[in-house]
Amino acid sequence: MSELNLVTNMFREINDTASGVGNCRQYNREKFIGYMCSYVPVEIIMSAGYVPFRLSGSTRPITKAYAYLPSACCSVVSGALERALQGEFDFLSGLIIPQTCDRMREIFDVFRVTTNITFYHNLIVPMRTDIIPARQFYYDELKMFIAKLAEMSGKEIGTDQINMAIKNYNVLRGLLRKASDARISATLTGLEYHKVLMAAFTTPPEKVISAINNLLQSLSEKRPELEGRVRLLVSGSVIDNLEQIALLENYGALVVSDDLCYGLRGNVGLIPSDSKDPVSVLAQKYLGKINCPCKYPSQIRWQNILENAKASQVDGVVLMLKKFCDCHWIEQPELERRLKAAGYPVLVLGIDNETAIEALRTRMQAFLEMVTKRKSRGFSNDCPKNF
Amino acid sequence: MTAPKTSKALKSSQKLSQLVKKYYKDIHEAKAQGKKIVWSSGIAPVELFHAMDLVPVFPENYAAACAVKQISQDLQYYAEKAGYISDLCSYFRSDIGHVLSNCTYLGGLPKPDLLVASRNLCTTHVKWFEVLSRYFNCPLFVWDLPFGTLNKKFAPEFHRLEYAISQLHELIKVIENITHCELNTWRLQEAIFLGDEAARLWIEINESRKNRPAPISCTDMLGNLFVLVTLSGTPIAVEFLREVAKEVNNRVSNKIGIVSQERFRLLWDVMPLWHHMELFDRFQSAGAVFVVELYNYGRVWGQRLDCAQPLESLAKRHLTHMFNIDMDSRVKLLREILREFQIDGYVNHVIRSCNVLNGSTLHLANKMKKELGIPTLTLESDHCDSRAFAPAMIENRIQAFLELLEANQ
Repeated sequence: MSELNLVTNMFREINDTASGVGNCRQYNREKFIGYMCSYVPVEIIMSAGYVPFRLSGSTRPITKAYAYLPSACCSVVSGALERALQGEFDFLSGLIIPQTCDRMREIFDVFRVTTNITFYHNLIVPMRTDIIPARQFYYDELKMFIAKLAEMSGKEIGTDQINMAIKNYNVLRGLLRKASDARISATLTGLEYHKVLMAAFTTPPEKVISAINNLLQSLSEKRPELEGRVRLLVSGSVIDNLEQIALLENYGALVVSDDLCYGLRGNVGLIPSDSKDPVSVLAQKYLGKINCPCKYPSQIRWQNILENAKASQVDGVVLMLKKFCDCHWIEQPELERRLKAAGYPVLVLGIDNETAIEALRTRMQAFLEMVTKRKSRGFSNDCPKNF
Repeated sequence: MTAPKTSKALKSSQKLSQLVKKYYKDIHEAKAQGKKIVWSSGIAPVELFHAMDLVPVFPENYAAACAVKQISQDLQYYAEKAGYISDLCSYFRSDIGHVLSNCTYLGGLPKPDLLVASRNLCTTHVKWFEVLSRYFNCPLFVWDLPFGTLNKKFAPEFHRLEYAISQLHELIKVIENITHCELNTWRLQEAIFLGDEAARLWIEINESRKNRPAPISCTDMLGNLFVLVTLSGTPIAVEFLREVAKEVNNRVSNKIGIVSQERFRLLWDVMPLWHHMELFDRFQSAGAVFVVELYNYGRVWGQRLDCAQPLESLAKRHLTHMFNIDMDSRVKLLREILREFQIDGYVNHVIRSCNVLNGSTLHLANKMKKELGIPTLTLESDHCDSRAFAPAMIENRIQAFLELLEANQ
């Protein structure tokens, strides 16, 4: 597993105290542009000659951000703002914040006026994903984004550059999909997968592509220590504290699939790279991806969760929801009902990055014990209704 | 628990309670007569509904009424029991509770034939109406109105306007399918004309508050907003607001204020604490009068309409209000308001369960404090959940704020 160690080390370097800065030191020829949310087309950032760098929260205490935020704020935004205020993102050449959820919509100006980053863009993403005018609107927004980025960078961002970036990301996403599938065959753990993913979000694509390629080639056909574990699907918004995934796996589970923004929901799949109008293709693909619950309509996501749960043969589902992430919490009772109706045991956990791991441990353990017993009695996933 | 009395300054406003009772009686009668009922999120193209013979019903408005009546806690209990956590919007929880508990206050709300959620303020509206859509097995239309910026003439960007108008055409088709009646453009123009007249009167009433002393109280204004939300586009709204405007103008001429001595002029930013409306009286007892509420004066309601371009002007209203535009445009509007209304102090209600407003208003208040040095009071509470109201802490803050205003005078 030397390649896995390589990726893990890369991840550690990126996410250490000098997060981002360490990354820049390693790849000091690169320039980075930060972004939040999976609705920002990273291909456009790359085509302008920058490395997309996805912002995440922090497990360290918030000491500065609450001067600008209400206490009822999710830890993704408060953590990312804290890191920005601490200067951890000063290396960024710019930051792209989209209008997606309500918090993201209103946080843009706080970042703009309180941090040292000089280039900002507020990318407006339509809420509806089911109509052609929404696609046209998003297309116009992407065109404005490109014009602003081209002006800032002094570089031409044309069809060729965008198509080239699409090709690169197709390779990366294909590999990430394979890494995700390796969870299903129990040759990669959920934690390892998420470490790879976090590295992919913050590292120049060519570097991470070769590392993941090597990793996938070096995977064993079987890992006996992962066999017979309780197979779980984790759903939620963002899990940027991987201790929470580790906790599940330390107690005998294997996270084999997910419905996470920092996970499969962020993977838009393969995008045609030979279009004469690649911006139109990007608008279509990003709006057509598995939706975040802050988009309308919701049903595509629910259907996808049920399909993934079946395809990856999970024994249960954990809804790991960030506190104050209203869109997820409003959908939670109905999603839980549907999952249970399909025969899956469900655990609902409210988390943030300051949630004491010990507080989660008891509930996770109890859930895993229950699922293990159920599994040993031979319940199949589509057997008991109203579990 | 009975609702505490709040003081309304105007005789004309006191007719509001009759109007509210009549409205709730009428919507039930309309349902019984087979008319189609639309449940809509608060900031809506209500004139279009009236023009197309749909009877509009507003769950947010009803939730606010229930909070004033002090029954929200009971309703929210039902929602929380059904799995909706207490961090979620208290309008939402109150409404779900009303549905699940078959609440009968004011007769409850008649069952919907159509749901319309407009995303011009928050995502929660849409998620909430999706829940209703499943519960009632009722069609839902989402009017997506993305956030944007304003040009010098306060107009939105062309592509944003185009996107909004294209969906209004889609909405009209949806309504025609429900009512089996085609849109009559004359009726739409008439409703827009009446909506414009109501808006003109609303602006006139608001502008009268630039006078010293201010002739109309915050409680009157927030109550009267009901008429604009539900009845804009009808002669009833125009008639009511005409009377209010007449009385207000008379009070201005005779220099009749809300309190005997107006000492401080204040701005309240967003939703009030509907469950503790008497809080405004606490300020008034110290001669502190609210002359602006961004909730009402932030171009949210009471924007002029153009009956020559009915759909365009409806779309513009929803795209250009205070809470659907970028921060620079908000600051520009607010700076003018603070100057024109001679505001001495800024009260920022950080609403615990409103993800979209609790961040933006805090930031806006911070900006104004930094830029203009205006004294700012931040109150953390909630619009409909009285559990988030800490009386002693709030009283302490109010006292300190009043002392600061006193020192600044």
